Amino acid sequence: MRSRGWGDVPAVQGRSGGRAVAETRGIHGEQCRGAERNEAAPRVVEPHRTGSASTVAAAVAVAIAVSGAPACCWASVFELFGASPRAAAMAGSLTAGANDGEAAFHNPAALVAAPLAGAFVSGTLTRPSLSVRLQHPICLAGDLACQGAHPSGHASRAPVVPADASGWAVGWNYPLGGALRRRVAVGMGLSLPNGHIMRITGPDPQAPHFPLYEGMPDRLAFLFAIAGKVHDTLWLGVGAQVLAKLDAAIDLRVNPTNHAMDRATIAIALRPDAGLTAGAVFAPTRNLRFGAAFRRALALTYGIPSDVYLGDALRLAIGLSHTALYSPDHLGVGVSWRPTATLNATADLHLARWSQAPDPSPQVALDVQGAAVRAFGLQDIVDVGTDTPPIRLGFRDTWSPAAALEWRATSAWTLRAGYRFRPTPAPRASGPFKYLDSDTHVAAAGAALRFGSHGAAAAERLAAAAATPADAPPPLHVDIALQYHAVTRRLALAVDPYDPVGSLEHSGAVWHATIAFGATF
Amino acid sequence: MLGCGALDDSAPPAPPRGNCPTIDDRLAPLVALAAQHKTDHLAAVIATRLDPASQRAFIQLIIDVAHALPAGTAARLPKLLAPDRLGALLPIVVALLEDLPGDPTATPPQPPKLEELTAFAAVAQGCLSSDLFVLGARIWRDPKTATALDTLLAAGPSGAGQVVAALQAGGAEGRDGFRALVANLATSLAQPGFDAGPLLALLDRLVDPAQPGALGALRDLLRIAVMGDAPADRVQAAEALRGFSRCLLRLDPHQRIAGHLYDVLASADPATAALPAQLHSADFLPLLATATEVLATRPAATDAWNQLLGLVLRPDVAVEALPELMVLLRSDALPGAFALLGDLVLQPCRVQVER
Repeated sequence: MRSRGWGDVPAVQGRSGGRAVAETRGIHGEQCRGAERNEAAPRVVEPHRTGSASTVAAAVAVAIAVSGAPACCWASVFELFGASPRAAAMAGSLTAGANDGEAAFHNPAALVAAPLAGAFVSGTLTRPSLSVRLQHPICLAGDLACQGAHPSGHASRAPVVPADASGWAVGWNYPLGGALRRRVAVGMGLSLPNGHIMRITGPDPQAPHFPLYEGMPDRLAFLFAIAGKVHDTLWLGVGAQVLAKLDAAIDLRVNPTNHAMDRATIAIALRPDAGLTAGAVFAPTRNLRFGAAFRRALALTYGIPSDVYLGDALRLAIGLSHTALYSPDHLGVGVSWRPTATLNATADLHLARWSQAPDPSPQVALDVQGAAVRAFGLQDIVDVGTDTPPIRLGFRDTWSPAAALEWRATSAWTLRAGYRFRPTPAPRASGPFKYLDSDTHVAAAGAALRFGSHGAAAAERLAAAAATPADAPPPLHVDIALQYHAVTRRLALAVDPYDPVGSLEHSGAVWHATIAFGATF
Repeated sequence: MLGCGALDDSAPPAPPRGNCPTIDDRLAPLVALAAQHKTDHLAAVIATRLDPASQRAFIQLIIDVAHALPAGTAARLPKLLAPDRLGALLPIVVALLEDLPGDPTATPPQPPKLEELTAFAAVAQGCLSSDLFVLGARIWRDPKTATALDTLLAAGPSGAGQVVAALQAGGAEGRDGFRALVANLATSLAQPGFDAGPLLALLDRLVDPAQPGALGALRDLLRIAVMGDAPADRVQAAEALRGFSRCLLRLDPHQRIAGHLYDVLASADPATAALPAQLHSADFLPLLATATEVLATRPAATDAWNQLLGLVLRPDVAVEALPELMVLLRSDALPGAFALLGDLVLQPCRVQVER
């Protein structure tokens, strides 16, 4: 293993002015949790499966996929930070404690908890400050030039660190009336990135990068759900999380010697894809709830096969496919307890099936065909990527505990705080593929200011629901939340002496702030 | 007629386009050869006999050479590959190889030269070291090489006759004498502390100062090779030649290659050989030098190149693949490919569209 000192190693940070990277070396967090254990990145490959499809939300999916913004990488804003300022302030510990539009994501069954309809609009700002320290200096010139400039080794890939990002979110819940009054409710949650219509990127898997945080605000999240009370103590909910599949085909007949395009045919099809969400709440008393929620794995996949016909002597078949925006199967269980009228305590445990995560890198295949190629037996030799199986990530399932407190300090002010531990699903980046992640401690806090008074109709509905004052706060509210993700330091010693990047160390923090304006009615 | 639509409008004219031969036009000779199964064995050698690592290394070699070429080389490539430049080497390659696989259709049938092929294959696979490629690259880079090479190539078959005559005058009578001469030379080169001075002096005596001709050019090339411009060049050359000579003596102890070379030189027919009077090797020598330098610095590329050469020259492969290679080299396939390269790089058919 390399023994060169790291005193002059380059550090790449997520933003200028970020905090300095500590010089301490070593392997941290060796307890058995997630994939943080002392295991090397896998090098063999195996096929992968993808998420399921559904046509339930076809029209919505198409509309959102066309105008919305699916993008790079894994995990949505909702999954990382929560679906509302309340969820963010309570570190996502809402499997049993959700009670308005946020329930569409955290537990659809909890939609029926709210006696009134409600809606909120929030703005989010995420500021990652993640850093990568490399053993070798970065050199992106040709191999010969780099070997001459850095005889003791160089990194031929520059780390990619996530940038600041912002976005918008909307939550909405509505208890139905008539015969279904107090029995059935619907809701939805939507997270929209800010600044672009659509962005899908496929990072080089050999470049060190943070797939969970890169492009996360670009990840559209849209969920809708319906919930019903089977019994006053048992509530069930079901919904869907929506994405899209993109299929395209390009057929070109090119006449390069005359700089002409004899024929160009392009076909693009956008198909909806949806993943099931479901939940249940058991409420044996007014002050105690147990909840369980499930979200099916979901990903955006696209494939663009291209046939470039240059003549019978030479033609190229170019295939591009990619699975992006992957969210794993997720199962959460939780409890919500109100020991007093003003205090609410929650605890959650979340299982994320990251072991099923597919290869997130773009698959590119170039198949060179034609009589001129076959004449020399080159038809298979010059092909690129046609027999390259997907990368096996070696991710592990993770169990993530969370806990939170919510205290109504006054009739106007509510304070919240939470903690979550997110074990990393990613193995140490000691192999050729540099998917960086490490165990993360999430600390969160927030507050809500409520004001105004309900109208007569709302007051009537509240009375009919026999709601307590805790269940029926003033109608207007402003919520704020701040989350701090302490991403622990992790050292990855390259197994292969010819590793294109070499050994590295990564760590950092992610700040997330959100503010919402909402109303109940 | 009144109206706001385009009912009575004619379609706008089609944009102008060039009228160059298409890729299919340019590659038609090659495709025709393939359709007649005249490249089947070559294809089989590359696709099935070359191991995958060497296949990749060979492709990488081509990419590395292209990457290492000086800027602007691509635009000059068609010209560099013309018959009065790099293309002039093709007849020499053909002359060296055409008799080796034999010709069962000739009258009388000519058997393959199995012993020579075996020696060629062994030397190609075992003796072409990176030291030798370093030496080759230095020779190609030397500014005096172009003049000597132009003279040697322009002399053609008559030059070959001059060399043979001179060697015979020097005591190397006939084929066996030539083989003995090569054996002695290789033995001397294989010795530590070999001094090229006497050899150059011998050539000086053989060369007519008034008309140095091909023999003078050969002497000049040898001087460039063994002397260089610096003492380090001489050391490197001596090391490279010593290694090659030892390898040659070990793998070709009966000088089959030298005998074949003599046959080629002695049978060179001035009436059929058609080398241009004026060559411009200075134009293509940097290209050769770059390729040789890449070979010298990439062990995997060196291995792939040597493996491919050794494979093509192996008797069981060569009897089928070499005749196809000869057909290919004599056909219009390569000129067609070069012309296509010229069309793509120089873009003579690009139509300037007025905006």
